[in-house]
Amino acid sequence: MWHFALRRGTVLLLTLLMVSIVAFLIPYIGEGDPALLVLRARIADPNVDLATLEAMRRQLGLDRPVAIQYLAWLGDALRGDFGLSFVRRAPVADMLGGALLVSITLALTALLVALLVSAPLGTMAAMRPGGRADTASTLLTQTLIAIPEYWMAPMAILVFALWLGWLPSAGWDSPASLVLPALVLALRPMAYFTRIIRAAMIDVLDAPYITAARSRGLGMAQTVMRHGLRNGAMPVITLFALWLAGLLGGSVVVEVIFAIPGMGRLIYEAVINKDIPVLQAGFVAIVALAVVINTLVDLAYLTINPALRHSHGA
Amino acid sequence: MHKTLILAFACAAAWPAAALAQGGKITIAENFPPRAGFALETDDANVLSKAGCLEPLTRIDFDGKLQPSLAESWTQAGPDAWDFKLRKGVTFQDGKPLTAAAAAASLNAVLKVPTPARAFSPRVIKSVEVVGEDTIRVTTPSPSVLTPLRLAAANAGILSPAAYKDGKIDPVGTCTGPFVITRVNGQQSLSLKRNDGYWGGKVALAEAEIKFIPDANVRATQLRTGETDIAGAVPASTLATLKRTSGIKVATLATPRTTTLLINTKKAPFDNEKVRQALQAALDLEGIAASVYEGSVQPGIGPFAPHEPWVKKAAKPAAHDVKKAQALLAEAGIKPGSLELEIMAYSEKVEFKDLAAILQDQFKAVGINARIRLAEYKALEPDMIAGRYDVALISRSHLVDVADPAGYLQSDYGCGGGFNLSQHCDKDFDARLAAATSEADAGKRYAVYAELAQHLQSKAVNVFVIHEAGNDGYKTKVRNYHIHPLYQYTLTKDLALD
Repeated sequence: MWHFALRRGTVLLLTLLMVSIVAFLIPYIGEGDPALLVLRARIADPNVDLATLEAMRRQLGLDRPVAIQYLAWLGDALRGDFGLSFVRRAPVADMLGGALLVSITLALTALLVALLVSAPLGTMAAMRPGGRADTASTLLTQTLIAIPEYWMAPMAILVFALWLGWLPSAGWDSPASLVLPALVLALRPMAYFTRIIRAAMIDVLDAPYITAARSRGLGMAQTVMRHGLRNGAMPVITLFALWLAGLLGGSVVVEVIFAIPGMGRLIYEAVINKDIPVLQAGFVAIVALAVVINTLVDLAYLTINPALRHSHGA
Repeated sequence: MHKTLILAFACAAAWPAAALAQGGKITIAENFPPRAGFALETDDANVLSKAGCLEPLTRIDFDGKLQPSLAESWTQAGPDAWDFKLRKGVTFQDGKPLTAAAAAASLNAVLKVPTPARAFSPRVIKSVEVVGEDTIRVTTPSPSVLTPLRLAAANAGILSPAAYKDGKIDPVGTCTGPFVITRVNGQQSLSLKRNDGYWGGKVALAEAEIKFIPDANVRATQLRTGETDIAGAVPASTLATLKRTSGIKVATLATPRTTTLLINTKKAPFDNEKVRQALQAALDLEGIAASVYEGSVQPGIGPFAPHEPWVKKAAKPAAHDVKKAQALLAEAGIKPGSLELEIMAYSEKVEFKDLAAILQDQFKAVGINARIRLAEYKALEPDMIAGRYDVALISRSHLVDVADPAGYLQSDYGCGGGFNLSQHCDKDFDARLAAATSEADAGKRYAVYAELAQHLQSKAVNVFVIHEAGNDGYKTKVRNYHIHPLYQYTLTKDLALD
């Protein structure tokens, strides 16, 4: 186990080094002068004075060669200093820390809601493939997959905030603010989880050890709880991790509509404003988290399935 | 004794609530959050000004007129120098008095930043000096009558010396305005309480919260759910619903912003005045205002809107006349169906897509074949600046620096103007504008602006399509709410709740 963790840690560091180079270069690709875009973001006026633009370029250090900029950035980053946002003039590390906390809270809540609904739904569908529960679950999952967030979010606001008045329509100032965005974000993973749990449980329920358990006199519900769910959980863990990594930076639509100060909105605004330090650090943070999450998933596999431990020599 | 004590405790416990109820707490949903660490040279100054915190020496009132603010009077000490006498008895929210030294230091801090604001930069302001116990002198690089107007910009707001520390700006407790910031919740919200020592008199509200909601539809929804009392810049598509909703009112104000069809006047055949006039006559501006904008805007009568003081009373939209347009094209030697042009439109302005389609249709009716290029502004701008375009839709404010359109006329229509996308150049136009900018009598100055606007309209330098309007929704329980013509003030001392 420790050998495996050490190996994955080395890979993680090498990956991050590669990512740092890519992350550093990304903002320089594409149209638009970063100094001009940053200036625009600050004064919201298309008519920019050339002398002011040059002053902005010098102030941001964009008049230096790119290689020098990269080495300086990497050195600072290794000390935990990602510099100041070009636009907000606030420490990037603080901005990312706050936004990550928000996004992790939102993503984990959404995925846990999705899991809580999809686990019984997928299992029920798997217990009688082709039955009523299975048909209803298939219909539901196909509908949920087809509904885009930019439609579902305003609809949720309309129903739960405007008509029923149960929940706030936007903001991030109380636990109630979390409910609507988490529900909207949960719908699509819920559909995918249900389908994969159904497929996994159909395989598991056909396995000889389930038959053996049943022949020992164990009831269906007990068999599923004790043996089925544990063994059917492997593909769900993979999917959960993929969704978690994706949602950390990829819930822009929901974050903008619900005015949530998360990573998606932060990165989106950084892209629009060419806020290079935020873009670079944000990209590294999201990739690093994705790699860390995948490593943790692999470790979780080893914990859940003892057979894998032997195959990894742990 | 026991009952008396209980009564005393009950009164004491109820007292803060009673005090709060007396003034009440208002919630406002706004679009733009502070994004630049409250740097006063950025639009964050406007956020602070709207929040009732930051105040400049002079101010533009809700009728668009210049009024005293932290300065009680001003005089022109020379062609390029103005003296501002500070109001007595003003204290910053940290208890320090407003002195000439503090005001000069605050203004110089804005001037000295590497990227100063256009309204208040070394290009237009040479120096700010203390010339008396309560007087500062502002000098300009060249004679200017606009200096008192420049001092009204939010960027020229005054903060206490304590606000400037370690290269950062902290507006918490360092403003002079009717409201004190108590909490900055990132880009989410600002919490404020009233400034009991406000120099301008009693402040009606006890507390306020400004929430920053980027989605305009959500702002409108928050007003309907009761989560906010005022929703700024609600979309035109929600106006009918809001007006139908009980307990909600909509305030509409024509803004100093015009949607214009820019014409590349240096490119043939648009260098021909008759061709440009044909484009102008081909468009049904009143129909466009009524359809695309659901009647919430006015058709364009020139670069400036009808309500502005620098507009001739008789100014009207260019008449929609298909036959005249065809005749003008024929006079210019253009055969029907032979003129092709490209309409550039940027996608950030949501209504431009529909507007471009209508322009395309109306041009076709006079025999002009138009194609549409819709893209993000930043993708179109390089071609527009380089003069590689035929016509382009743009939404442009003409009060970009100060409450006077001279800067706009110079930058957008002056020879060598910094944003002269239509490439208009007329020496006589420039000379008249230069003379106007040194004219101290505002009435005479405005008359020249009106004539210059008429010149742009009659020569069809561009087609001024519509004058944009701002729409804010608010609860009927809100008292004394008005949209400021420059969107500079929202929380005022008189804003109140029933």
